[in-house]
Amino acid sequence: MEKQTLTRRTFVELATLTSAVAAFGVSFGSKLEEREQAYAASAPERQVYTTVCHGCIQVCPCKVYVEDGVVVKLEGHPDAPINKGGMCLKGLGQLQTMYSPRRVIHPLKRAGERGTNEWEVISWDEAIQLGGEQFATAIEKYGPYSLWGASGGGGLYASEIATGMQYTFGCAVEACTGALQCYCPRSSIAALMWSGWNQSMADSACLEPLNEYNPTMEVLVEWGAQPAVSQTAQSGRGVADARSDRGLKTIVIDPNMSPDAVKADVWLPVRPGSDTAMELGWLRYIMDKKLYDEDFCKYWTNLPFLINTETKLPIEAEEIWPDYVNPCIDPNEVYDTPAYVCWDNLTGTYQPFPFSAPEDAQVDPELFKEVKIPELGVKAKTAGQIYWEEAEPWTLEHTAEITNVPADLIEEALELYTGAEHAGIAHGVFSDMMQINGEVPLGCLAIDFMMGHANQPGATLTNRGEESLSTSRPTGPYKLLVISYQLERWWFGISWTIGWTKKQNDKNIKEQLKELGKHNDHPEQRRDQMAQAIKDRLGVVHHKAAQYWEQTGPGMIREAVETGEPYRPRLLYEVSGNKMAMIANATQWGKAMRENLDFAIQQYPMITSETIEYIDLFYPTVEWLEYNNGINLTVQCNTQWLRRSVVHIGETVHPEQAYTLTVNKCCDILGGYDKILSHDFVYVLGMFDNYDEKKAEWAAVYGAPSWDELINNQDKYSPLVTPPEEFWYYYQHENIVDDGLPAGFGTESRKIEVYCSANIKMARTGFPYVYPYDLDPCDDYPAICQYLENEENALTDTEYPLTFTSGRVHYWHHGTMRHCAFNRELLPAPDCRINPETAKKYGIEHGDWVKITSRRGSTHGRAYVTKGVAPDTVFQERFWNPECYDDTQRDPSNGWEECNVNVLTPDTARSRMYGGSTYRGFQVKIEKSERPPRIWVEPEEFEPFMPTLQNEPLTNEDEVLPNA
Amino acid sequence: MRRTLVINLDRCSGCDSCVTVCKYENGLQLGEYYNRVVAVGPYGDFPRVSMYWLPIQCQQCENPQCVHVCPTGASYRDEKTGVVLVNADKCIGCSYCIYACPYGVRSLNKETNVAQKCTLCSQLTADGSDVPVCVHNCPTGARFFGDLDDPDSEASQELARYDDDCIHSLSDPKNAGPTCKYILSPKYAEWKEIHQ
Repeated sequence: MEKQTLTRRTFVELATLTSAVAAFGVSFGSKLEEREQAYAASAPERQVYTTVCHGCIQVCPCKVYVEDGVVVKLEGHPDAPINKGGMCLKGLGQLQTMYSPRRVIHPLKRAGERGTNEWEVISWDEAIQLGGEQFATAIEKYGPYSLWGASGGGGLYASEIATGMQYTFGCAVEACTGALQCYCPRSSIAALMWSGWNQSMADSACLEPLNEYNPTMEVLVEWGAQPAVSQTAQSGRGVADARSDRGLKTIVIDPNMSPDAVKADVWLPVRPGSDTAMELGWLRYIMDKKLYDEDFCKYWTNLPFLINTETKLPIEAEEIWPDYVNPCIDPNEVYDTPAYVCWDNLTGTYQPFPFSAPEDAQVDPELFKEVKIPELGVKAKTAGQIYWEEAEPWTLEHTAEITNVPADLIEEALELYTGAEHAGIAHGVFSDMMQINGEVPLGCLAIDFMMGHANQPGATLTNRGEESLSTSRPTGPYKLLVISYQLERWWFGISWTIGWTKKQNDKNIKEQLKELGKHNDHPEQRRDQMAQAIKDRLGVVHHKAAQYWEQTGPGMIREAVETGEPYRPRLLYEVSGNKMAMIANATQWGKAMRENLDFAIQQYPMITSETIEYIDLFYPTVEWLEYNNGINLTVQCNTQWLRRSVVHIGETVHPEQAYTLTVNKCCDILGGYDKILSHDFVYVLGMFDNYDEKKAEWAAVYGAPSWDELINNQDKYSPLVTPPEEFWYYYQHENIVDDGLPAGFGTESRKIEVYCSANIKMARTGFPYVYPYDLDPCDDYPAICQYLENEENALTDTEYPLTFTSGRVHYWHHGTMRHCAFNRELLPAPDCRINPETAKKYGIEHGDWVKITSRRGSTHGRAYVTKGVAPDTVFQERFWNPECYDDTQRDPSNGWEECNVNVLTPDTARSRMYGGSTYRGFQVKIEKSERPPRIWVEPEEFEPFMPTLQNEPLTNEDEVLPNA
Repeated sequence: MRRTLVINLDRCSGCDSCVTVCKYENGLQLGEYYNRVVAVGPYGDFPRVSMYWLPIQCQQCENPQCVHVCPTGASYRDEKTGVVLVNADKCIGCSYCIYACPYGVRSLNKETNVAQKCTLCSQLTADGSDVPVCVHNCPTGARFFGDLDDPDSEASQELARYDDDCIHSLSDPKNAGPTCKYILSPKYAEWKEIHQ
């Protein structure tokens, strides 16, 4: 029986028939064949393709069944190493969103007033002309700072457009609902502390829990991480396998009893925003009971280095002993590794501590010591001592008092974590969304580093693949290909200086300027212009840490749009979906944009609340089943899978293409490609104007001679597989490199800088982000985790008694899928999770509507009464309601106020290092309420969201875009 | 032969993917479900609480109540596979089976007025070549399909990995003999009897 030639409908009929046949006792098989033959002539042709799901930020290879050009079925690819055939409802929902009546398949121009949802269909020629004109006009009238890009959360297509705009035009800001609020803090702190991968599981940084080749992990700490929800079929599956098949034990630290917490051996329901207290409690316990990996701390971290208590920086040997000769000095002054100073237990004195293999060290460094240094006239403390003094007050009892987690439960978790040889922390997004977003990663990383859980089997902090093996002194994250957007500044010869000596950096920068000169005249002048744009970024002096990803806190952008000070961002290019639902302080944000933007372009597959509120020109882009890309989010552990278009409808375009054509049009109008800062930069981050060239590039990645050959014989080329023994590497820092010393880590000291001195330097000069330029200094950033509460917190707030927190749910990724009928019928309105005690106190019952109010405004959710959150904590996930502007509504709204927690969130409570907004850990009150108008809750109400575009003709790729 | 599902609740994270993938495969409309996932708990004293998710669909009973009450013989248990099915041509939409089912997993198709329920994706599985889509796609690998009389089937193999105290069935007050098995280890949560 050839099942590929049969449709699902045929099968349903077959099933009905065979059931009947069996009941009559007639032979089963023969009837099947008859039926199949009877249908053969009319059976539509069924094809099965392989691509990669893009329902979230992860990478689940899947199979796509197409009949007569219509996608009829999706399923997980059984050969995928992690998802193993699984596919979650976010991915499956594409069956509806791809053909949703809400999709936009032609370019649109706003026809009515902003906010009214009236549109005119225009051609791509007109759209690109209009977009290019608006770019050119803004540049001519107001200069490049009038332009800005905006992007969204992880997994978004072409999020680099918004960042890259700054380097293409010399504009100064980008607004992103991810980045500062997602992954930038966690990844940048890890990059500074050890130049390695970080503890994020969602971003595929932490892979050991999924490692089946060499499964060693015993204990996984999911600190705010919820893989079972965020990436159910991928890291969620990996952890489920590890737990069930390999006995992995888990500790979950989360105010909400997430599905991961449900499965945890120990769940610590920490009060939202008190995580630094918990971390210091853990650090104290580890130091107090001497549970740390002493040898690792002594020889592979900077914990024994003596820190000058006045400069807060480690003392170098030459400062005390001017004639000291550092044995690992590079005669060419390029690859220096400084010699620091420690307290030597062998001699009972402070001594130089040059870099070497542990066994070659001439000293026995003490981790905890305070000492006077008469030569410098200062006191010095070991970094370990500084940690101890910070952590010392945080006994289990004190930690319990501040975090609201019983001390015996904390101790149970600590015994489990510290008792395991192979363990690690997976650090979730939660802290990025709070004011403590610099402090929490410092703590999570320090805990694992003290335990020696780095570059070890079964640790979360590991580095994989050939690129993690250095043959020369590793110099910064660039060498390790750890995620950072330094490539942008690198194009201009600014900033993330991949060496740690001036000579090396100057050499790198000089070479880079030569390269820039191949694309642009006056390269130095252009570099200066770009550096000035960085210096002019809003809030850059105070929030230097945000420069890791070229970011500006959205609250600061909102204020500049409102006031025009110090300059007004006027022309917006938006590449993500719905800022009105995803950005903090949404009410103020929307008002600022609606009233002050000169022009706004959005590229997305559907109209959202944001589109209606303030977008003027809309570029419709493809859904993931229509999306070709060989390299963007295509890697699952040691395999890389092609993501390819399976079908394509309407005049929708590749998200990396329309922007480039707009840039080109702008340049044409201005009189040439040299009229903007650096036109060719559009290509650096993967954007393109020639689809064929791009496809050829992707084909080459898979070793195929052409794109056509690649997709016609896909299985021959994809997946690309790295043999596991060349992927899962450990102890890379011990490998001897070309200076005869161990590779160490890509930091200045070549050791793990658990005391993050790079943070101190960054606050003072902006290093390493704008080298060779300086930024004005700000207050020092912390070098270690410190106790810090969010501005609004339960300890001090008497007016708003409940602490709000949030977290993912299974049904969507960020702002997506609210128009997917089958997902919405299962979760039509957001659950407002409250403890039974809290519910009783406020007279609220399970299923009641709840009004939640903060100092910014009010919104709604439906009470989900559960012992899965602590009393006095309220949990609700982000939501918006596209049904509110359905044609069937008599009194439509734009769907972002009714159930949107970002009406509640502050964009003025900003983290000190990054300047991001606060999305969790602030104060609210609740009361029983009525169902807000327009909200659909019954399954049948979602009928207008059921797919309707199946009969759209397939797109002829050559006919969509002009001059493409 | 007793073809059925074995569902490992130690793995299930309540994501509802089995609900929607079933709807896509079987052409169900809004408000129609062959399976639902029920949250059981959390119970205990905060913060030492536990819970689990319980996906419920046709239990493929050996002594199916729905078949006993069917006046036309439309509901039947397939002699070869043990799968309980509905012959749509013979169903008169009387709904007796819907009321008789101890597990509430049958409904009337809104368009055809025919009783409907999980067929274990017989359009895919009848010839033994494939598994139900909820099994294939389960994101956490919690669902297993096969013949409990065949010790080599995936369903039997999964059960064999667990002690008896981890293996449960839904309560069976009417002696319907549900074949669907649930795995729930005590270390995750205590099994609760669910009463309809």
